[in-house]
Amino acid sequence: MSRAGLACLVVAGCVGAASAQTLPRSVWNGVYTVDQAKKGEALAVAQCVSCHGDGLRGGEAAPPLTGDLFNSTWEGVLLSDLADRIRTTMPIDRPGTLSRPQTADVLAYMLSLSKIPAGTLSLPADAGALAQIAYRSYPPQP
Amino acid sequence: MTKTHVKFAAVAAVVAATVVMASLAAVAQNRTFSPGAANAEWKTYGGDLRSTRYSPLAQINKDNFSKLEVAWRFKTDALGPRPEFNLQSTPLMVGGVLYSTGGTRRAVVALDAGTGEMRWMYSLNEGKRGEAAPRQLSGRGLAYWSDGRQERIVYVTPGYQMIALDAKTGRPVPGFGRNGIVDLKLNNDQEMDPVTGEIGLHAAPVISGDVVIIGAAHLPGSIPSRRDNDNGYVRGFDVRTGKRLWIFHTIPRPGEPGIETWEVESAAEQSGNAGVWAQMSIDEELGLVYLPVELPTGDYYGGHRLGDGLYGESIIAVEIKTGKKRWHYQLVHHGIWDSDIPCAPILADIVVDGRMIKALAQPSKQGWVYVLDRATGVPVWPIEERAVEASTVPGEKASPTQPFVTKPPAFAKQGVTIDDLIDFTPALRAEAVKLAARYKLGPLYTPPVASKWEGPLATLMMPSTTGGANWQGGALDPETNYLYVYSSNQISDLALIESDGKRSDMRYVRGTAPNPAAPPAALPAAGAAGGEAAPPVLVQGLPLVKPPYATISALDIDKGDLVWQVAHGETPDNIRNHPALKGLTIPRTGRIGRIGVLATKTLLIAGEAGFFTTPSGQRGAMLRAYDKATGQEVGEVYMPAPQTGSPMTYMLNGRQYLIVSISGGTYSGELVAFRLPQDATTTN
Repeated sequence: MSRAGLACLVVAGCVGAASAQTLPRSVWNGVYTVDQAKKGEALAVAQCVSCHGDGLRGGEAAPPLTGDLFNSTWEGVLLSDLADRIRTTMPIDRPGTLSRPQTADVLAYMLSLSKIPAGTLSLPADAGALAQIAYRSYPPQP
Repeated sequence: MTKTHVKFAAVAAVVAATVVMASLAAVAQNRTFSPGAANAEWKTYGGDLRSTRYSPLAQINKDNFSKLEVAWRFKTDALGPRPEFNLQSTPLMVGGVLYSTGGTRRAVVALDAGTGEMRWMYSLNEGKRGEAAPRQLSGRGLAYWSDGRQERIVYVTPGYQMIALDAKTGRPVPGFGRNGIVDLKLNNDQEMDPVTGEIGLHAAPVISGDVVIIGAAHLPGSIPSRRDNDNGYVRGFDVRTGKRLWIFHTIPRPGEPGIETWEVESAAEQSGNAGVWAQMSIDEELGLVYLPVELPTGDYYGGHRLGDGLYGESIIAVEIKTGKKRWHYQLVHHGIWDSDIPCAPILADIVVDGRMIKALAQPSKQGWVYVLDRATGVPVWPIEERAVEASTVPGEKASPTQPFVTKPPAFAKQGVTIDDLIDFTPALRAEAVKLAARYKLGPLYTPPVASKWEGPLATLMMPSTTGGANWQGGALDPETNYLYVYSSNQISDLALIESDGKRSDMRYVRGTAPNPAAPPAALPAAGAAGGEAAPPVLVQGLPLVKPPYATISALDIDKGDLVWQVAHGETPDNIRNHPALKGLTIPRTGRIGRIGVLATKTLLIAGEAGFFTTPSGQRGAMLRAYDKATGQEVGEVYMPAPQTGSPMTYMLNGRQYLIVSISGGTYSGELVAFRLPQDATTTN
């Protein structure tokens, strides 16, 4: 682990967040495909919406996975952390049953709900590759 | 670039606080009852059975709040098979012991209130039953009972079993139910599958005397799988034995009062839900428990349940000992906006024009506090039946009128007009107006539409379907009768589509019309209701409506006035750093969430929702204190994660503690105890 990584682990509040300057890619650079988001939608409809609501807008017992509250919670967080959170805790009745590729598909669907444009390459399932992308709710400045 | 100051509706409206406080002092002298958390403990979820969330403790005050330091932390990760990221508990503190639920399996722990050291832990592995539960994770709390000899902790598991534990040992009480457990899916005047029956509860039980009262919750009802879903009846049990004492049918059965409000009697028999998933409140002097009821099945489509449909979205007063109804008051007729009554009614003895009234103040998702005489159910100030728009959805018949509160004023924005859309810059404004043109805008109680791609795509609704207020409710200062409530100002896009019958047997379910010109899906959404989910209504990632996005309001419920309102929550990073807002000065916007508040002798305390980055670069949230008379912020303390459970306080060995449940994002659940440094404490 790099010295910077070690420092990040010991400073509360640093873990999981990343500055835009250190990132080679943004979620706004076409990091998933339409097909992948559709696969993710199928998974979400089957496994997520019963608690998180239609369109993952949130329900009484589960937070929204898109929109204002989601954005303020996950802004700047690495997609690897977000994917880990999904993969290890969801779906709530069968946590750990989503594979890494399936988790990436669900993540792609969530990005599509946030109107983040698709591209030509699928969102990777590999944690190391996802760690190169941070969630940003707003498009980059032209 | 020249900085541009952005103006939005003033939210720090401090209204003649000095005059108000002087008159309240005189009123307070007339009161003999002392509500609030007594004896420096916190014995019930809401601080007292009146759900005031008030403690008279004063060691932590405006002069020292920012000096608070962490006394101890208790991580809940190991209480279940995996960490939990949405810890909503408000613990109890009795006799130096802190009791809390926690963990993904909803364990119960007893902690040393001074150190956080665990004394005991109880957990029940419910297997498939727990996995299938509609209300998972650690829940919001538990109940304490004692007859002076025995002490018990009573809680409800995710799988809807009520368990009584010996408060000293954590062991199930043998004489309660079967080996300490009552199966709440049984003896419920309905048949349901013991594993998959869709019923559970997040709220804490309430106990008065020897009666413990239990509500019910279900899955969200936007796309209910069955319109004859399980019913959410309310029951009273003997806290000594677990024996059922009474049941109240929240949807009346044939022959029971209220059935006449259903146009088709069989629809009442068929319909389910109408649970009480919110916290209940109790007036022990009147012998009444107040039930805040949700909708019957189908949050947004009522075509299968025509009529006002009692007791949907009603407050019901029932006798604690018998379960017999004393009165009811319906807040929304034939609800189609998911206006479930979400939180505990707050009981207050108010003085209106010199007359003492035993009142009930009910915060709501729709942004009003309904103030009723709690002995009779009669509104303290007029609640007027006003005409509202008819529904155009086939099969739906919306109520022609709805009750409108005339006092106190709404604590949340109600309805959506063009004037509510963001105007940070002309370009954003133009984009917002263009976006809104695809939707139906209107006042509160504008009905949902059948979605059309060409428009209207949906009805824009504010407060959103989750409020306004939600489960966290409010707090009351019984000395001044100021009621405090946090509220979100956000939009829901509310529309219906015809169900394809795969996921629901309802005729219409929530959904948005698909784009007919869109290319065929690479893979069809298995079981999808027929329409693709619409993206959130955002403008370049920004909320469509103007800030504030979240507020705390103080309402004088003696007078029915709004006293102050402030934006609660520092502006989130995604707005502060938004490139389209570069160069603008954005006042604090507040942050959306579900935030419970705590009132003490001088302070109103609440943590923030969501995350932001502090000036020193820490990612987290602040615990904030306001002067409860004026709304002026008087202190803040950093927390590494947002508040997710309502705070509570107690005194132990001469020191006041504040406990907050925090979690969210990548930060797993944790109880954090704050207190002042030894040298900063003063005698309470």
